[in-house]
Order: sequence, then C-alpha cells, then structure tokens
Amino acid sequence: MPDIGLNAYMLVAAAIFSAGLGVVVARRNAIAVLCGLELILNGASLNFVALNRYTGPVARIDGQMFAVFIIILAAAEAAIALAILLNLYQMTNTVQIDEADSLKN
Amino acid sequence: MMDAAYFTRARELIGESMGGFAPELVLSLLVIVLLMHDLFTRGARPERAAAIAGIGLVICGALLWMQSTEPPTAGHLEGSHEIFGWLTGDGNHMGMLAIDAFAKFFKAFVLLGTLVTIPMCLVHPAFANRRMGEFYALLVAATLGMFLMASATNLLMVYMGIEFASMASYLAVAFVKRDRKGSEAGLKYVIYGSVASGIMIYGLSLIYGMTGSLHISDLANADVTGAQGSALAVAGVLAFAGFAYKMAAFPMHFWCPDVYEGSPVPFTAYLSVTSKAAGFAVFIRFMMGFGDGALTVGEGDGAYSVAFGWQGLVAGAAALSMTVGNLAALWQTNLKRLLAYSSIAHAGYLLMGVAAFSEGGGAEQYAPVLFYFVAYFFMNLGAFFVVTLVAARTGSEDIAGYRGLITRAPFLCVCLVFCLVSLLGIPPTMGFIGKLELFKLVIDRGLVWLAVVAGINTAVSAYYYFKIVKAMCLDAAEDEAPVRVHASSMALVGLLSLPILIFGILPGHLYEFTRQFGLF
Amino acid sequence: MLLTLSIFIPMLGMVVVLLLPKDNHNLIRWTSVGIAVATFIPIVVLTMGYTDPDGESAADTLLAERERVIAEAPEAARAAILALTAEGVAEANDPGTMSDLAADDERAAHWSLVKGDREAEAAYHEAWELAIAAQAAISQNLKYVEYGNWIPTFNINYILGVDGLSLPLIFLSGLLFILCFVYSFNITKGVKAYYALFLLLETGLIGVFAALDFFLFYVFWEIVLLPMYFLIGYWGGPNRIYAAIKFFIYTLVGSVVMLVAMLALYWQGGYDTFNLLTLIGMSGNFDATFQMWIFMALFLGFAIKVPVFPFHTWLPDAHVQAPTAVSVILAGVLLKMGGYGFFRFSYTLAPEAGTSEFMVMFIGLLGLINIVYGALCAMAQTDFKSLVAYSSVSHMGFVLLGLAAFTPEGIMGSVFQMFSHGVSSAMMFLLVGVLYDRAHHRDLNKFGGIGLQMPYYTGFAIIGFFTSLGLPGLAGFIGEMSVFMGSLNAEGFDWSGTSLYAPLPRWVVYAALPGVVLTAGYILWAVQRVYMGEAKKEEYKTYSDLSGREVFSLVPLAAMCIVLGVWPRVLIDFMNPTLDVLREFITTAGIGG
Repeated sequence: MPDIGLNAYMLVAAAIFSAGLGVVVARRNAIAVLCGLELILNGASLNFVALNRYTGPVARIDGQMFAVFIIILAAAEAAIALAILLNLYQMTNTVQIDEADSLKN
Repeated sequence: MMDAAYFTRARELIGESMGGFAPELVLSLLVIVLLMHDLFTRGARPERAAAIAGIGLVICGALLWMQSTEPPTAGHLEGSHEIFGWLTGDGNHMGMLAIDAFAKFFKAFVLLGTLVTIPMCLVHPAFANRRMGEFYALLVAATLGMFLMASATNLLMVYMGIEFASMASYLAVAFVKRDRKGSEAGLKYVIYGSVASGIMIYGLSLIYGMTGSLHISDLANADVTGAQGSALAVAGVLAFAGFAYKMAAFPMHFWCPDVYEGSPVPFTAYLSVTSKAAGFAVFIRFMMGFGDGALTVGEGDGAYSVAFGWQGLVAGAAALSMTVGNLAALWQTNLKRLLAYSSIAHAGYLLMGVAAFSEGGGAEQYAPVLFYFVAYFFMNLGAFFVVTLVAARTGSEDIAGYRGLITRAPFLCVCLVFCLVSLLGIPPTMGFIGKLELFKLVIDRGLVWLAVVAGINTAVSAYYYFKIVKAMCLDAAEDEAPVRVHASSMALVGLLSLPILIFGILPGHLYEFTRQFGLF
Repeated sequence: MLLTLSIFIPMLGMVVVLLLPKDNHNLIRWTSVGIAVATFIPIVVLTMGYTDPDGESAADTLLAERERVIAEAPEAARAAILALTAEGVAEANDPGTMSDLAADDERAAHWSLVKGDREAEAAYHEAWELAIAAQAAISQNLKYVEYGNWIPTFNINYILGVDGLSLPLIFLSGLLFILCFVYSFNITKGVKAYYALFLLLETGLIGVFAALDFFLFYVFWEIVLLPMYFLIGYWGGPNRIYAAIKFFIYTLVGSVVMLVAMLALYWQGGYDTFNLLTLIGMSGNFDATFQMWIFMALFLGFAIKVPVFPFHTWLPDAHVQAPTAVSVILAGVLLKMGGYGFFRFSYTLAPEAGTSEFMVMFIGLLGLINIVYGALCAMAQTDFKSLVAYSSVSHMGFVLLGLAAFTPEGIMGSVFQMFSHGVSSAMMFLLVGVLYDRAHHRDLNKFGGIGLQMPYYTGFAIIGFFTSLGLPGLAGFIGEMSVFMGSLNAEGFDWSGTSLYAPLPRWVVYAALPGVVLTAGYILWAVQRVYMGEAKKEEYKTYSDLSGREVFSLVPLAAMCIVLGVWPRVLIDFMNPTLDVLREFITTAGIGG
C-alpha cells in the first residue's frame, strides 16, 4: 500500500473525533447522540492503529489490540444505552433528550 | 524470537498469574451464580440472592486478605508485583495488573462498600418482593470492574476497568423499570460516561503514540523525536477528562447530581463511595506513572525535556471542584442531590491531596488521601444509610421530610448529625483529622493557596450541612409519627457512625495502618 | 491531675445527665449544678495553690518528662539525645538543622547514633520539644502542667497548664457556669438536652484556657461551636436560627484560617511540633514576613471572637437571640477566648510582627474604633439586651487599646479589663434576663419606674451597670484607667532594649477618651429610662422582686465587682508576674533572635 504518512491518518482520526464530539453536543435525538459516540470511539481507534503502525516498537501490536477492544466495548455500550433508551421510550414516547427533564437542575 | 519456548513460557506465566487473580475470579463466578439464581428461582427471593452475594463477597475478601503482596520468588515474574505479564526483549516483566499494597487497599475498600450496600438494598422498598439476583449481579460486576481499576498498570486495562465498572453502573442506575427518573438518570449517565471515556481514550492514544507502549511505567521514560509539548498537554488534558468523570471532579461532574438523584438510594451510596475510590486509585497510579510528566524530546545534545504540569491541572481541578460543589449545594432541597454536590466537593478535597503528590515523596505521602477515604467511607455510607431508612419509612428525600427527626427517630438523627459534622470537618471527628492531614500535606508541599481555598470552602459548606441539622433538630415535625426501623438496621448505622467519633479522638493507630498502603 | 479533672468532669457529667429520665426536671437541674460545683472545686484548689511558691513549676515537670522520654528511648541513642537536647544547646539542635548537618559538624557524631532508627528519632524529637518548652520564658509562671502523648503519629501531645493569665479566666468560667445553671432553672422545654449541651460547652471552654498544645487548643475551640449553635438555635428568641447559623459560620471561618496558620507553624523550620511552648521558644527564629502572615491569620480567628470591628456583626444577633444564661456565658467567657488568644498565641508566636509599627497602629486603631463605635451603636439601641451587647463590643475595645500600648499598665489593664468585663457583662445580662422574665419584652422606651417596684433588683442593677460605666470604686474603673494610663505613657516610655519599632501615638488615646463619656451616656440613659421615673405600665407595679435563685446568681458577681474595685490587688498581684514575663518576652524577642 502506498505510504501516505502518519499525519494523514491522525488528521482523519482527529476529524472523526471532532465530528463525533460535535454531534454529541449538538444533537437532541438520543440515537443521533449514540451515533456521535460511536464516531468518537472510532476516531480514537483509528489513532491507535495508525500510531502503532508508525511509531510503535517493531513487532508489537498493542495499538491494534486496543482498537479491537474499543470496538467490543463500543458495541456493549451501545447495547446498554439502547436498552435504557428503549425503557425510557416506553414511558415517555420520545427519544429527544431534552424531553427528559424530570430531574430538576 | 517467538519460538516454541517463548510460547511455553508465556503459557506458564499466565497460569501462574491466575493465583494472583483469584479474588477477581471468585467475583466473576459470583456474577454468573447470581444470574443463574434468578433463572432457577420460583418467585421472588431477594434475601436469598443477597445472602449468596454476601457469602461470595466474603469469600473474595478472604482470598484478598490472604493474597501476598510480596514480589514473588523465582519462577514467576521475578521481582515484579504484576500479573498477566509478558517478557520484553530486555528481560523486563510488564504486567496488566499489579498486586501491591495500594491495590489491596482499594480492593478491600470497594469490597467493604459493596458489603454495606447489600443491607441497604434489603431495606429499600423498590427492591422488596422482586427478583434481585440481577441487581446483585450488576453490583458484583461493578465491583469486579473496580477491582480491575484499582490494580491496572496497563492503559488498556485502565480503559477496560473503567468501562467494566461503568457499564454495570449504567444498568444498575436504570434498574427500576417503571421509574422515569431512574431511566432518565441512566440515560444521562450512559451518554456522559461513554463520551467521557471516549475522550479519554483519544488522549490515551496520543500518549501511546508518544511513548510507544501501553504500560504505565513507560509513561515517564520515553524518547520521542519530534513530539511537541503542546501535544503532550492536549493528551494529558483529554486523558484527565475520563479520570475526572470517574472521580466526579470538575469539569466532568455534571452527571453526578442527576444520577445520584435518579438512582435507587443504595446504589447512590455505593457509587458515591466505591466509584470515587476506584477512580482515584486508577488516576493516582496513572499520574504517578507519569512522574514529573516529562518526556525527553530529541536525542543526544539536542534533547530537551517537555513537562506536563500535572500538579497545576490537578490543583486547579481540585479548587474548582470544591468551589462548584459547595456553591451548588447551598440551595439544594433534595437530600440526594445535596449529598451529590457534597461528594463533588469531597472529590475536590481529595484531589487537593493528590495534587501534592510528588515523585520523590515516598510512600508516606499517600497516607492522608487513604485515611480520608477511610473516613469518607464511614461518613458517606452512614449518611446514605440513614437517608435510605428515612426514605423507606416516609417516602421523602427532601430536607423538608427530615424536619423534627430528632423526636421521630433520635438514634438515626444523632448518627446522621455525626456523619454530617464529619463531612464538614469539625473536631472531634474522623473527617476533621482527615482534612487536617490533607491540609498539612498540601501546606508542606507549598500549595498554601489551595489549603486556604479548601478552608474557605469548608466554612461555606457549614451552611448546607447545618441546614439539614437544623431541620432535623430545631424544626418541628410535620408528621409526628415515629420512624421505626429494625434493630439490625440501627445497629449497622451505629456501626458506621461510631468509628467517626472514636477515630476522631484516637486516630493514631488507624493512620499508621493506612500509611503502609502507599504506592512504592 | 487537677486540670484534667476540671476539664473532663463536665464531660462525664454530660453523660450522666443524658442518662437521667427526661421528665424529672428537678433531678436534672440539681445534678447539673452539682457537677458544676464539682468542677469548680478543683479550680478553687488550683487558684489557691497557684501562689504557693513550693509548687512544682512547669520547667520541672517538662524536664522530668524529658528524662522519662530519654529513659524510654533505645539504648544506643540515649547519650546522644541527652547531649543534643541539653540545656543551652537545644535551641541550635532543632530537627530542621539536624536533617542537613555538615559531615564535620561535631554534632554529626551524636546525630548518627539517632538517625535512621525511627524510635530514636521520635524520642529525640520529643526530648527536644520538652527541652525548648522547659526553657521558654513563658514557662516560668506556668504551673500544674500535665503532659501525655495523645497522637504520637502526628506529634500531638496532651499538654495542659495554667498561669496568671489563664487561671483567672478559668476561675471566672467555673463560677459563671454555676451561676448560669442555677439561673436556668426557669427553662422548661428540653431541660435534659439544655444542661447536657451546657456541660459540653463547659468542657470546651475550660479546655481552651488550659491547653498548651496548639492542636488540643484547636479541638477545644471547635468543641465550643456545636453546643452554642444548638443552645442559641433551639432555646433562643424569635430570630434564633439566623443568629445561630451566623455565629457558627463566622466562627468557623475564623477557625479554619487559624488552622492553616497552625499547620504553617507546624511545618516552619522543620520543627514539626504543635507544642505551644516549643513554638514560643523558637519564635525568635521565624522570619519577619512569616511572622506577619501568622499574626494576620491568627488575628482573623481571634478577632472574630473578641469581637473586633468589622467582624463584630454576629455579636448583637447572637446575644439578643440567645437565652439569658447562654448570653451570660457568651459575653462572660467566649469573648475572652479571643483576647486570651491574642495574649497567649498571636503575640508570643509572632513577636516581631506584633511589635512592629504597623501592627501597633493597626491594633490601636481597631481598639479605638471598637470603643467609640461600640458606644455610639449602644446609644442607638432600643432593645435592652442589644445595648448590653454593643457595650461588650465597646469594652473589649479597651482590651485592644491596652494591648497595643505594651506598657506594663497597659497590658495589666487589658487583662484586668477582660476579667472585669466578664464579671460586669455577665451581671448585666442576668439583670436584663430578670427583667425580661417578668415583662416579656426588652424595649427600653417602654420601661420606667422599675426601681420603685423592685428596689433590691435595682440595687444590683446599679452595681452592675455602674461597673460597666467605669465608676471609681467598682471593677470597671481599674481596667479602663490602667489602659488609658498605659497607652498615654506609651510614647514617653523607655523603649530602649526592646524591639518595639514605634509606640502607640497619643492621639489615638485622645480620640478614644470620648468613649468614656459616650459609655457614661448610654448607660446612664438606659438606667434612667428603665429604673427611674414613673411606671409606664400598670403591670410594672405588680412585679415581684428578686427570687432566691436570681439573688444567688447575682450576689457573687456583685461582690466581685465591689471587691475588685476597692482591692484590685487581689487580681493584680496574681496576674502581674505572668504578665511582666509575657511583656518582656514579646517586646524583646526580636532582639538577638
């Protein structure tokens, strides 16, 4: 594969991370927020893999290992979040998170 | 290099590591047993599930007690406290989990916290007459996650431990299905927590890039060409976000009041004490692994040192946590929310102690923080236990519902007063001795401004702690009916409150005892 | 032993009272009075024994303790510790110096025998503390010293001792508590809790005056807070909860700042000690900026208690809302905690800062403001109790003025004023309480002609109020006059040989003199409005004169007012040796330090 250099990968990862952060902060739909969360986690994943390839010690795959674990944990987190969201939806019939305001400020 | 002998040795190492992993294995087994219990039980038997959980935790505790923290002798990761390790090229053993006194302290702490939570679950009305095996499974799973957090020495294990504990917590908060507040709290917790840990791993990825290794001890010594000081600063701040979330410190404390209010009271108590302790354990290890936070950049003559000002960041976070927590607590009327803000403020006091840690400080510098945790255990769990009991009998979690408690439940009232006075930090309570030692440590290390901020915050917090005391002792009760609780509950509350006074007057031995659990 | 008894008998008494049945009011009341008397007996013994020249002095006790510590040290290190902490050399061999000795220093040989062994180092540290404490100038007049290890891990020891400064205040506390307990027989709700809290308060107060370990002092200081909060908050007047929390938070802020100062002192110079006498002994070595910080930090803590303008705003609320007996203790004893703190802690630990030009002016001006402003505010009050409260502010101003003067008469007058104010303000609050019990209001403008109906009461009132006014022949005059004489003499005094940078200028005293006139003004006006003239309401004519219980509370105080006014030597001779030594120490400590 042609070598495009570490910077490109890190830039993309940073972009994905920022996009995800922006989505989490700006969107009101809970599902969209979870999508943003996935973006954040994947940005970090990409970072790990890329850094492993370019700056990690030879013949070690720590970064790739971390990326695999991130994928696993992201999936588990999404499942939990969706389960709680489903329960809330059955009570309130909405997925907008600003409708969830019974806990006063 | 990775030949057959290598793999044989690796298998041996894993096998030998299992011995050090015994408490965690018991906990994992316990989770499965508790889940099975619900499958195979006809009807709701919450006490039986509680009993199984209790017995399992006691067995785990016994194994933890018997665990030796001495570096093992020949044949098993010589000279290292760590398990699940591997051999690096230059003969170093790098492990995933550390079996040292520091880990032991926090594991025991979390375990005792869980054990105290179980009686609280037994008196909580929402948990009566339903299958509780699942809940206890979640509780034990969270405990297991915290065990991993307490001994993690690898960045991957740090992330895994945090996520493990958090995921079980998310579910436990939202456990009561028909409770809208609980589900909302759970949702907020999930989103906030996941985003926080997502930010943290981004930071960890940058740190990994600069050091080339996932092990904590490699954080301090790394030769990186071309790394900028700003990259290290960004990475440090991002990583701190995740730790701050777990410790409920500024700036990631926003989940705390809502989650504490919406979650069932026993689990709030559990979170406030154990989750915070585990968060601090993992953060202290991480921070001390960083040492002065200096990375050497460049090689040879051109090398220079880039330091990340951990002390500044932590001291700033400490001051802001204290102030924000205390100021927000001033006008709370819901007792759970008030205690949530108070726990944010206490995260601030503890961080103050952490800010004073330095590389050359020796094992004794950890003692104030550890002692304060012990004090915090008693006073926070004591306070929450009384809240659980009063909420169970009167259904009220507001300060207004506590009016005249001195006439309705004098013993509980007095115990709660002890706990609140200790949280405030007046002699002769354990909370005062803890704060005194933290102040001493901070002043010793030259952060006098932080001690002054903490002092002012202590004085300000008197207002809201005494708002509760005043309501309980000086106001007339709206409903004169006495709050009757079972003698065993009262005994347990007394058992949690009495040490506050005893160790407040004679803290010497307990302090000496905690001193030996510092990081080496 | 006597001091420990007098501090902890009330605490044990509190436990006893808590076990009594709560409906048997008389049993509770008389038991409490009995306990207060039982506390007072050791205090009386202490007082009578203090002037006995054969008693064991502090230096003897402390040196004996040092022998004991050395005897219990590890064998190998004993001689070394003895040599290091011997008289004359101990000052130079403090823990801070020891940790970075040069290798060729002759003391290194001794130190090498001690270093490394944890027990030996602890023994050396304690022996050094005791050696310095024994030779501190202040220790000359301390008697009845009690010493014990409390929390060795933190170098906190249980040290008690009294001298001519603290013993009169302890005596006053013991006496006032008996009188308050008897007076409080008219409390009808929550009697058990009331007396239990009061007893805890007594422990805290006597402990504050007797403690010689800074940490122990702090603990007793804080123990006073909680009972006061509850006593004001539950048994007080209409606005009691506000007053209680205001008092609590004000005092807490002050104590927290004091805590920071305490810890800074602990760490200073590597001495690692809370022993007050040791710190005083080494205070010559503190540098000037550090001393200034410490002085200001301690000043905040004590100034709130005195109370010094502008930290006095808690006082009127607390005094007016508190029940009578609590006001008596508040004015009679609690305010003295602040003054005592200045004498015992602030000036001895930071002598250079205390005698600097800035500080003399600062304290002098604050004293002046207290006197005049307090008097003016008192004049404007319509609530009788409020007037007495502000008069307390005004009288404590004299304490500050005398303190700023540093002349022998000034210091003596200052402490005498503390004691006499304790007596007179206690009496005034009791008098107001007697009236309030009958009239259920305290509005000065609505009273009139009480003197006709209650002649005996008015007799006591005259004694009490005129003491406060400073009439010659009564106790208040001695204090005020000595303070004025002392502070007027400040400029002309021979300050050579001291470290005083500039004495109190005369104009400050001239500006304070009108305070006497103002004091006379508001007191006479109040007396005239209440006791003279025609009865404004018919019911005033039906008031019964003093009951036996009230007489019992007032007589000892009236007697003291007269005795101290006519024969002040009783107190002056008692205090003078201590105050002379204290004054010498403070004004010369900067020299050669």
